[in-house]
Amino acid sequence: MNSRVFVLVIVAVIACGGMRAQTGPPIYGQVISQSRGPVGGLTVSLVHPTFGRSTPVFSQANGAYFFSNVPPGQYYVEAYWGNTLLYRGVVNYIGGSLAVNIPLP
Amino acid sequence: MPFNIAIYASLVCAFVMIGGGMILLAKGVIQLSSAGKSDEGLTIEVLDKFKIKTGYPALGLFIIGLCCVVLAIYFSKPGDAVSLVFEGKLKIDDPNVVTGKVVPVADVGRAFTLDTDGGLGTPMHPDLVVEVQINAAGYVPEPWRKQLTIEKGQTVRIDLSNVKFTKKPQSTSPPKGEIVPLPANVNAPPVQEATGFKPPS
Repeated sequence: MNSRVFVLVIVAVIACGGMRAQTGPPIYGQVISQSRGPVGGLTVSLVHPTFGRSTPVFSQANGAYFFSNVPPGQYYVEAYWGNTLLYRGVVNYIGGSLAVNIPLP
Repeated sequence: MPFNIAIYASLVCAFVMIGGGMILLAKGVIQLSSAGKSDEGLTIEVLDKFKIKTGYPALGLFIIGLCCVVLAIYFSKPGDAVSLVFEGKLKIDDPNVVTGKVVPVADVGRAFTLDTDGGLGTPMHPDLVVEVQINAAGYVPEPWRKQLTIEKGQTVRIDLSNVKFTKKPQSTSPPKGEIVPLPANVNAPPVQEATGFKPPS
């Protein structure tokens, strides 16, 4: 009996952990410059070949950014300083929560 | 914007109506002296219920045109749409680095519990809140935020003249990193005009 309860508790903990992982932002990360450290105030955007461009987000003072409501697919992650494109990389998002850091020189 | 177009189009129609009437008067096609004397005026009958008869045909046509203009403006008026009007100019040295967006605030809501019979008899009036975010690379605040409670059909005015961005100590652009070229078949709008993903229907 005790072993059944133990197994149930383990299963519940694992299930809760899985649910917790899925509640994080789909795509998140940090804009980091090798020379400056975290870069805030950049405009970060996702581009999908079919869906078009996402609503942009802004990197915070610690360089952090995140996107919500992202359908699975291949995206181009872009970072802008005003109108100037500073970075574009490819990311393959298959669901869940994915960390994508944006490296700058 | 469509509402503005309807107003401008109606304004043009009104000028055409007035100008046309003046031209017709000048050319003698319409004579005010003979107006009202003849029985052969203008008669309008709508669904056998309304009958308007006038001895001033030009005036009758003018009123018909005016009614069309008023109706066009009335029906083009946005009903449930919310308008955000930005007034004033924000204070910043370089407007080119500014981007902005308006997003709904997701964590605002109103909780409720069901009645004992499982129904919900009390009407609810949930708040709909949006946040205006204006970002300027290399400036603080990053970004400037303002939350607004909106109602259907309401016009919300936002005064930007009190918004001031100041340069951060390190305000020059960071160096460019890796830029992967976009495939030729990808035509994304500029980042300043992005309105969100549009999955194919």
